[in-house]
Amino acid sequence: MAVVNREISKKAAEIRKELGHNFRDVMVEDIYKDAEAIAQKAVTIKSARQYDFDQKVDKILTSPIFGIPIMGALLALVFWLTIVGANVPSALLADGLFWLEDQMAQGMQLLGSPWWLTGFLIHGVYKGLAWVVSVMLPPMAIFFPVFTILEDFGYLPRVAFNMDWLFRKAGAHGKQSLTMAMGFGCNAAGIIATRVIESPRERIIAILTNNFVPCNGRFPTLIMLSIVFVAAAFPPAVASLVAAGTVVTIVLIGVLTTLIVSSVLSRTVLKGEASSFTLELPPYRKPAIGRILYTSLIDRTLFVLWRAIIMAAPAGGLIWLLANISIQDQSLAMWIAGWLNPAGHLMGLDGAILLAYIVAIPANEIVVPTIIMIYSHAGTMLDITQLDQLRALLVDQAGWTMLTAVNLMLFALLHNPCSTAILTIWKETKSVRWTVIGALMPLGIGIVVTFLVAQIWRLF
Amino acid sequence: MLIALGIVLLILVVLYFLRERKNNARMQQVYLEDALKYIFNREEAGHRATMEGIKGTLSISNRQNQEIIQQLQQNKLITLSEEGLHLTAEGRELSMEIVRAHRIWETFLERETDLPLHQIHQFADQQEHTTRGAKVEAMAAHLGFPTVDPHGDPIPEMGKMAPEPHRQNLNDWEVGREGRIAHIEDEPISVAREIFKKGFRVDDAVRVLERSQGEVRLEHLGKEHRLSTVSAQNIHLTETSLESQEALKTLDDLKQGEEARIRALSKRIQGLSRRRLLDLGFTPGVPVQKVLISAFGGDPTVYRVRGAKIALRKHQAQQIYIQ
Repeated sequence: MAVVNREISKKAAEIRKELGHNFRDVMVEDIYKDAEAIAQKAVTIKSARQYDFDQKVDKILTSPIFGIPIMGALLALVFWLTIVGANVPSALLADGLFWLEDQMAQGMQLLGSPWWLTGFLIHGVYKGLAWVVSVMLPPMAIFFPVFTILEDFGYLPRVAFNMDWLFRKAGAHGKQSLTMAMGFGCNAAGIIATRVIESPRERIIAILTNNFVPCNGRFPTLIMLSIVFVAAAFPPAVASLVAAGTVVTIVLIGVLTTLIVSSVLSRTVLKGEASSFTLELPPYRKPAIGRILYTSLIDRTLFVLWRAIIMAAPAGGLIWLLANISIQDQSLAMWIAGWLNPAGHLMGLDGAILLAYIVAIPANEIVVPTIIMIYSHAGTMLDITQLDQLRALLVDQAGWTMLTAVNLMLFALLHNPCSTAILTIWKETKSVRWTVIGALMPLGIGIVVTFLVAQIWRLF
Repeated sequence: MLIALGIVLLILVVLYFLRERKNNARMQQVYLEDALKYIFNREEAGHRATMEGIKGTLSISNRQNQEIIQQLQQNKLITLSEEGLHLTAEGRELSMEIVRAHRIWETFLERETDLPLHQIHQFADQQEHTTRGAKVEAMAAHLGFPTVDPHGDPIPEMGKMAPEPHRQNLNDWEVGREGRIAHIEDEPISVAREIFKKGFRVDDAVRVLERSQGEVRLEHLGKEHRLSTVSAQNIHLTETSLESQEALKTLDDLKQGEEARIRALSKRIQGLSRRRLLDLGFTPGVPVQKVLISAFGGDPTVYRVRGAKIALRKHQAQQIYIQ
């Protein structure tokens, strides 16, 4: 058998040598010829109405006047639906899950469990999990289906077409605008979405820069800071407008960083990587709502949520341990925050913030609750919904200034991806090199940027 | 404490020397092969290969040079005579294997990566020492067993190399006569870079328009170019094949709404890009219509091919010839 196989391979090699270098061209041409012959017999095209309709819609959606405004309006609408629509379910979910926390804690106490076991399991592991679920689930359950409707309708490739000029200049692919938009929902989902970019170089660029788009786990931090610090400095009449403007500014800084980093990557480490550009503009279709709900809930929301839960539960346990193990009357969290203070000060932040970012590597949703926990010497993660109280804690007690707020917003935008996103980079590239660069490059940029801002700020 | 530190230091020193030795062994191998290649190239060109030549090409000391020559002799790869160094049959075979690896690598880099063309020679120089046998053959099979590398040099196969076709330097080419680029020298790199950057490729048709002091003016793919005599020295031409390449129209030349049949895909689109375009249906003979030009910078442009709408960037559309 083996002998026959070898003979066959040898024969195949010989024949292949006679084919010449353009055998692929010839093969594809032949396949198309056959396909055309079959299609001519089997397919009848009734009318060109669909095509004419597509042409008309394309004219509007890609027009120099309406193209960009329509895109901006739809993006704003998606955000508005996500943020407003998620508010109530998020609050309900949080109430329910935290009510359950109390019930379970009481139950365990009745069963005679020691306080540290109850604390670790319920106020640590469970709380971390509940927190991430209540912050993350509602926005994702809204954002992904809405985004998928636009995808299914056929609108997204038109966005890629309109935005390509910008990305071409940065050595990237127009479709990167879509993976970035997906990154607003979740960077891990955005990284998976880069599969639509068929060109290896542009795909790696899109993967490595996706983290410069703030995901919905980071949005609450940005919104809170822009309300408590930036907007508070303006009269109430324009405050909410200023808050929104601040968040948009941060997002734009992220987009600018993406373009700059893309451009640098494509001209340096990725210079030799193969590259090609094609973009199909499919016919417009009526979105299949049922299928959309199914795919976006199962494929994206639940998938991402499951990974986050796996990551968040241990983080919750760790945070509880840090807050409840005391050495010389001071919790471990306080000690570590103290050690990190000098580094934090250099970056215009402080030790507690850095510690929160380290323990929140699994899930960025718990950054602010952890910071509040450390400042208020609490034993578990805390949320303060009253803005005055929050301001009192952060400004009067922890000594935050406008610099702290600005740099925290910058650092929320520019730091290492969460562990789910890092794992996803590894799964998508199967390369240690790209995973390490994808994890450390944003962190390095974040450290440099916050450091420079802090130094310049203090000059004045 | 001090003892522990001492032990760590010792281990580091030992590791360093081990690594150095391994590096040295690898360097030695590279030197041997480069020396062999030098002798091979001299012989191919009908020149004498000398010890001084090796020393100069490899930039090594006299002692190293002697070691290398001794080693090559011991391995029965070369013989020495009054006239200089000669390859044995074995040496010749090994040289050709190295040259094959180098030229297959160059072809691979040209077609499958976006490395600038003037850099592929350097890159292949590093790879040729570590890629051999089955791997080279697998690359060759993927490329469809090319016979000529991107510089126009023949790729040896089964220990045989096609004789170099008759070719003439661009500086000696008759004014007004059309020729085909047969060879672009890969060194010096700065010159190769200029030539490739101006768009000249092996197999392109050119016509010398005028020769003046230190400069040659020529027509290439419907455009006029100027090359310094120094650059022109690195280009060789042969008789053009019957079908002359006048400026062909491309998809990019179509106006919005116009339609044309594809004539061919330029040889400049290779590898991934070519496969993508073919897969999407941009095959010779197929009608293509320009439907929509991006309002933002006029690039990319949507083409309708086989009922589908595909956007291509300008530089790609310029590589698809139409009838």
